[in-house]
Amino acid sequence: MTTQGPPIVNVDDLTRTFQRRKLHRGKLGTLRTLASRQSDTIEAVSGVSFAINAGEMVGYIGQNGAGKSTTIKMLCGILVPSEGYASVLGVTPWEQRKQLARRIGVVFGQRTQLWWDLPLRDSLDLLRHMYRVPPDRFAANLSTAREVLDLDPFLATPVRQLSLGQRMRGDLAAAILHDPDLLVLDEPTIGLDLLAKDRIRDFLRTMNRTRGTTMLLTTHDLGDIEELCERVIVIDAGRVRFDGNATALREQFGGDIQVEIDVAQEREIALIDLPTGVSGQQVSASAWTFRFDRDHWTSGSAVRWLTTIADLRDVSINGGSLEQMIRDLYLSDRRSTHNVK
Amino acid sequence: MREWREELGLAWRIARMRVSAQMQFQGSFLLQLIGNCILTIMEVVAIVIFFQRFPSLGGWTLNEILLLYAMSAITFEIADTIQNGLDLVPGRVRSGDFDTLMTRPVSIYLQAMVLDVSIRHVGKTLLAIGLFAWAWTRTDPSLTIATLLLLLSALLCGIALFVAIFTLGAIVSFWTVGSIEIVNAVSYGGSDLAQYPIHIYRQWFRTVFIWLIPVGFVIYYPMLIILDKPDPLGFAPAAPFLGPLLTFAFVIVIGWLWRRGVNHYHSTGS
Repeated sequence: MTTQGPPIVNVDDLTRTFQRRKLHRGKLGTLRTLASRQSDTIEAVSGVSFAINAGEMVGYIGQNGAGKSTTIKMLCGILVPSEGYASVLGVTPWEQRKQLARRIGVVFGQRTQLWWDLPLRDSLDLLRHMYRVPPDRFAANLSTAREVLDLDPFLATPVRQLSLGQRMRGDLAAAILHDPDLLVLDEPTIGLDLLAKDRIRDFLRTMNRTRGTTMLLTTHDLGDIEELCERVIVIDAGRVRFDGNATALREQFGGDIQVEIDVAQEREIALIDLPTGVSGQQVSASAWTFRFDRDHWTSGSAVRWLTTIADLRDVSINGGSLEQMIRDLYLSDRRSTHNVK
Repeated sequence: MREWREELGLAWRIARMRVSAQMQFQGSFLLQLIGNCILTIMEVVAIVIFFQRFPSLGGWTLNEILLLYAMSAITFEIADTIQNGLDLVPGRVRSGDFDTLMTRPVSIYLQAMVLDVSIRHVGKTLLAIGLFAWAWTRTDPSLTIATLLLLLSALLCGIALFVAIFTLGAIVSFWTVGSIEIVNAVSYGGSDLAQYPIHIYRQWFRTVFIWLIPVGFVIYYPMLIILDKPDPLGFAPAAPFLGPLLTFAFVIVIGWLWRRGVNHYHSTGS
């Protein structure tokens, strides 16, 4: 759900460059690197602009090194931009770090916000004090988190002993305890199995639906986008390539739907006279791969059709890869007369 | 003001929780405690042995040296206990985990200090206090208000100074990938230095440690006044005021450098 009002996040021409010492190769390379003062300038984020309204769930997607994490760090006040401007919940993040920190929740997929040596429960309690959460809000939020994320089995376990999935759930719970207006998530489902991903996506959807928490999540998992975000911003090599409706993006550039099936009884499936937009290949005696182009098919219609041609024992659907999508996006971008900055 | 109190309360809470978590590993804790105590005892034994051979060190007797030693040990150990977390800052800056401290609405410095809390120093502190009491009875200086104030000054300034020096090590890591060993030499070396009367060291060394890093100054001079020892360098009259003043100045400088360091992290990431 989206509400009217000024944007919660306003990013204007944000740019961030890094200096990296030029690495010399070849003989005496190391010595020359140490002695030289030459450095490369890398533009990790280049003139990025966008605005996010209250209640939106926005996916910020791109490959590794595209500039997602760098943008996020600037919005959280961890990094200062080289150029440009940003405003989050009315403040400039790197100038008023503490004030902003009180009102946002941050989840880093690759490092924890919790205290490593303390039991999860203690971490959450510490956060209650740190964020001055009123007792009734804390109780309500903790209860919701415990229920939806199933925290009870490991509430008393030290964070360092938690599995990745458990730790992510703990981090999520920690991030919402103080009722943040904005939740920023950097690769929240990375490295998790499908069940864990599902649970986390479910939790995020619940938060957005019941509390109207605005969410900005970076990911390179298309499944996250599919499940969570109405709107996506695609970033590649530091620049915004697409900013709009997720479904439109997927339909245009999502690539073919790929379905792998395992049939109950070995049989011949005729690969001739297939419907429009379908191609197939036999992988083994009982396994087949089919591709459906998105102009004519959806995941649902594809599976439905497959059930009519064989007794299916197992079905696996792949929505196409992010790399492929960005490549297609970039190519069409180049070809088109409009230039996204 | 209220925010400061609140943040300190939070840091204290974190420290307490860390200590309870550590206490669970009783075996390791006890071993560290005992090991620390043994080291202290050995240092004292070394001093005693020295004094078997030489009747005095720069005009100071064994008991007076032990008093000086005890005082510097107490301040150093308390400082070491408080600032333990700062040792972890270089690692966090390198790995990027320092980001975690920056997303919380609390002073980054305070968070850094409680990243790790070790109470194994408690053993050495208690021993040092015991040694101090014992040496006090042997040297029997007059107990006046002035004496108490001097002792308090030595204690507080000493702790503040040592914590500031340890902070320097963390600050350096913002600019370099590895923390420089020089800082270790200054902090641990400084503690050793403060145990002996200043004037036996060479001039330049003294200059560094009295003016730039008032370590020897802040503990040595109060003790010199209390024990009524001769003052070969002539600083005694000004010392009670200069000590705290220099400490204050040093702490301000370190505070400023910390801010600069964090800003540098802001602009270069990890």
